[in-house]
Amino acid sequence: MKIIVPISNHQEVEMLVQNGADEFFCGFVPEEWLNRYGGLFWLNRRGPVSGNITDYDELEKLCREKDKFNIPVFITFNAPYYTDEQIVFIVKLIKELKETFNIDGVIVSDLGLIEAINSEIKNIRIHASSLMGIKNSYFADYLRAKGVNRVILPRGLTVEQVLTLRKSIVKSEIEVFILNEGCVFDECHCNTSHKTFGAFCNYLRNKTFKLEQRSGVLEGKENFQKKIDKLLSDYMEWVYYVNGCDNTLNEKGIPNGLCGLCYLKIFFDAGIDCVKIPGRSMSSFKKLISLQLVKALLDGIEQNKINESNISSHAKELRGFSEGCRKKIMCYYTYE
Amino acid sequence: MMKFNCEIAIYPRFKKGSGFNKDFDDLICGVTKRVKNIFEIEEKSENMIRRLYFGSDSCIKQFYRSLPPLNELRHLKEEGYDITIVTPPLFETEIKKIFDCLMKIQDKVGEIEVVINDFGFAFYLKEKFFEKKILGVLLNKSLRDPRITMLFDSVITDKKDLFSMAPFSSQYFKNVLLEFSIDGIEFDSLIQGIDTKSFWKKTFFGIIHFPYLHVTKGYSCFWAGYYKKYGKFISDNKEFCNYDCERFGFEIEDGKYKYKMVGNQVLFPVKECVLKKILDDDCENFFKRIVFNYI
Repeated sequence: MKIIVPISNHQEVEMLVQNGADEFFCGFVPEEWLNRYGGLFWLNRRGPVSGNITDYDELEKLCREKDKFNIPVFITFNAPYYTDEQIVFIVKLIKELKETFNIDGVIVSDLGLIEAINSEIKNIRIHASSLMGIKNSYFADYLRAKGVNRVILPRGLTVEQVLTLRKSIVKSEIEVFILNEGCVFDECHCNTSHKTFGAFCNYLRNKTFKLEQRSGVLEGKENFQKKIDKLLSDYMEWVYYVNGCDNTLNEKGIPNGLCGLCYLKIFFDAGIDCVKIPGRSMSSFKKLISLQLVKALLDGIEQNKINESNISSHAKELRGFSEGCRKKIMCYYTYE
Repeated sequence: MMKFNCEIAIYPRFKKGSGFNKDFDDLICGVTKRVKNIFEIEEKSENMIRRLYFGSDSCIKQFYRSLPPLNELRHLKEEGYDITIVTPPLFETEIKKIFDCLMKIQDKVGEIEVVINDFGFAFYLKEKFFEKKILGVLLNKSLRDPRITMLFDSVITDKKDLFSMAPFSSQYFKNVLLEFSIDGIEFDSLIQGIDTKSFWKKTFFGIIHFPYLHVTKGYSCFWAGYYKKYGKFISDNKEFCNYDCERFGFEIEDGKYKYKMVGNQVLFPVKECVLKKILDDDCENFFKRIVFNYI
């Protein structure tokens, strides 16, 4: 099982490799894109600057470093969609990145772009982004026929669903989320933008939710309203955790945010190919400490020191047991 | 009341207070789940309603729940109504079940149109025959964030036209849709407008939803969280569903905009003028149908 980690500059390469990174992913937004499309239409799911590399010099240095350590790097092109003109631009860019900088592959979310890459570029790995919402093997098989080597499963699946998909998706590698950044809404069907106002889910946190009765009779109104108020309060607490408790660290210095570490052994045994630590705009420190956490558990699993029955206690000890852990509101997955 | 020069379709499950023209609003709020007042609608409406939508674009539980008995569907078909069945995004184990369900309907009722909101299902249905296959509104990735799009005419000026172009305007995506034998494509009534010039009107036709924009959809359903002790809103929780979304929803106010949260969806109502502008700008006559998606 590999660990894929976000990277933002060449200085992070050695540090992350030494601490167990097997693969890197990053965003690259060249100046030409900004000149053409301004700051409004993003080349990937992150803003033009935040979490992206923006100049060729830095990309060249990063790729030189990754080649030195023989670690693959994948560039993210996961905007919800691209126009014809943009696809032509991106295909040309990918060709250039592959030929000049020896990038190893791309992470893509638009079917049109996958079609274009498959017909225009040879010998490049394609990973289907979680934004494609792949929840069945029929979609994965279709993508495999289009040259997609790996599918990144969306957040929001149960452990059982991940295991079912592992059994039925036989032709492609599978990557799952394991630590940090979450989404309240289904990333595949969230038609909002993080631009200017931030994530829509986080934006809703301090808004007024007024209960509307759509049909039927409301019995025991007062008591019911209290229950709804409690449910809303639980919901807002969950939204807070999904958004990394406003990007804070816990008392052990570990980033707050979603976590699937308790299920790492199950995923390992099931043959999940790769676990992802998302967060391209995280600081180097957060990337490092998150990676060390996942790597420590994975090493324990590979050395048979950690099994299904003790992984939760190991994870909680390493990460620091928190209120979110107790209430199971910082879990990526449920497992009944 | 606005007269539309295209086919009108409805989800027969309307509620009052849609924000649309009051007469039409009063008219459709009388329609029950079982389409009892459909004739009344036709009587008062300037447009004939000949197509009815059943199913759900966002929830598997609501998909089954909203299907009338087969004999009622057959009766509607015999009365001359065309039937569209809308399917939601589908997990591995649901694909064959839904397909069997559609085949059963088609066997007993006659030809039906199917709206697909999952590319895996589109691939599965590639060589299967239905009256028409429609790419659902959830697979249309156009921006529906009122926070941003409402600013287009005032604050943001650079390249806003890119947001009125559809995800399907690329030749490559056209090939994908042809491969899936798609006949029509669904859109929401986008605040930023819809540029239909680049579409392939001879290849596909457009269907427009009104008045609600599908802003976002959760993995899990808010109401199912009511019945869970822990991990209330984490991952797929539909097994805890008690159909509370049919009875309750939320109006979310942020001082400027009002959203609706129904089940696992957040919706935003647009005004009639948005729909009117889109249809006025559609000089290519791409849009052939309006679906009133009142909730």
